[in-house]
Amino acid sequence: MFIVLQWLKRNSYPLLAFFLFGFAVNQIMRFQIYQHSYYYNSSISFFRTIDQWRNNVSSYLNLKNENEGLRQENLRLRSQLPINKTAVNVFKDTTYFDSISKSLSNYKVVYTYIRANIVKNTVNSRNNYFIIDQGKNQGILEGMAVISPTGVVGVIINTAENFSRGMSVLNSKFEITPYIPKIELRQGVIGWSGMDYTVADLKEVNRTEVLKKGMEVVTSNYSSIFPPNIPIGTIKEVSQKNNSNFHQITIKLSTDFSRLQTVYCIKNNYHLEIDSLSNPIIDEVK
Amino acid sequence: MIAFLRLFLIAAVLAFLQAFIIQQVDMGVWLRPMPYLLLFFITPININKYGILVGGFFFGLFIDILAGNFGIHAASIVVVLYAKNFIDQRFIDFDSLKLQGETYVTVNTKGWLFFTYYALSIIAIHHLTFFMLDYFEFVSFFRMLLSTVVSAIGSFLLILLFKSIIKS
Repeated sequence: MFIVLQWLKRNSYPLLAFFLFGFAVNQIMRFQIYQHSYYYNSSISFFRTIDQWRNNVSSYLNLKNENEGLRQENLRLRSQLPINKTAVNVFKDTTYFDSISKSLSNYKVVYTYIRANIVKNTVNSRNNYFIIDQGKNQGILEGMAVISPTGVVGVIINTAENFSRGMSVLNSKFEITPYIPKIELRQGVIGWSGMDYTVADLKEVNRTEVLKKGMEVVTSNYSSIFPPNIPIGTIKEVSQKNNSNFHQITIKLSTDFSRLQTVYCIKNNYHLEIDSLSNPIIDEVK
Repeated sequence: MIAFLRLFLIAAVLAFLQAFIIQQVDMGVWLRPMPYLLLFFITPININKYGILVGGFFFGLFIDILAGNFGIHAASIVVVLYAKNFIDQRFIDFDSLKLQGETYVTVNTKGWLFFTYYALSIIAIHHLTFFMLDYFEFVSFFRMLLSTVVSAIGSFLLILLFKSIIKS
């Protein structure tokens, strides 16, 4: 304290000069229009630059949280897609305004999405599986469809408390009915030949159907597991054998199974109801 | 006491002269003389330096209020008084000044050349500070310098003129 007081006493003259000069400059900044605007414009642009630097650094450090937020948003938006909802009672509404006002109550949520991360995945076996970090506790059930942001991944076959195992498209037991929107074809079945994890085979498509390379293949609305219009892949090659009534079609899968990270498990809320109606049909056929 | 009142009166006259006459006359872009600095050339050197600093600051504020400059004169005066105190400590022999019967530096103290250097350097410091605060941008640095040089010469000549008037 004594040293501070001594220092103040020793430098009192320059300090007083500095104080008076600072006061005068403050007056200039406050009352001189040109200096005022120049000072504030310069300081604003300076502080904006500093802010930008700080934002760049913090946004880089928060990329993980940002990514998580985007995933959640994506999940929410997916849940709002029209393909997840089925209109009920729409034909009751005879007036346009009625249908608008009742639009929210006229829809039922068919599909529910749960986000998950792949913790283990194989692509080189004959029958490939994957494990996700969500289980029974998070609402995962056996038979739920699994998709990635780019397309179909597989189906859940086992669930534990906090983890689940799924059978991927790259599995000899996995089959799915496709839909080719361009020619409105719901025919055949997609399976994996076990050779290349980037392609699958589409079998049992009648040779009379005109198929072309590059046509998009998506999930069919006949599936009770997968929502309709989820990408499966694109037609890579179409060939015919002389003695066969079917095309031999190779499909390039839209999902890159070697880089799977984030997936969505989809629950069909009316799965049991659909199944209960399907069984009597099967019984009657029998 | 009479000496103080005289200084006070001269300060008031110089402030009014600066604000209402010199600043109102159009002398071109470069020439903006400020002969009120005469006050600090005729202020006795042995007066308390804190008193001179605070008094000079209020004198500057007074000119600012009259001229509508809000702080530019006050800031320049504070800087020049601080610098003048430093220059006086370094280059003026107070004892010989006392022996000569002078209380401030005049032409007789060390001759014309010394007085010209002494006065011009003090005036230049003041004017440079003034124009820096007035232009307030580095882009106009050379304009600032030119204004300082031209105005310093103008101020110096006016100071000599007023000083001779006061003496007579």
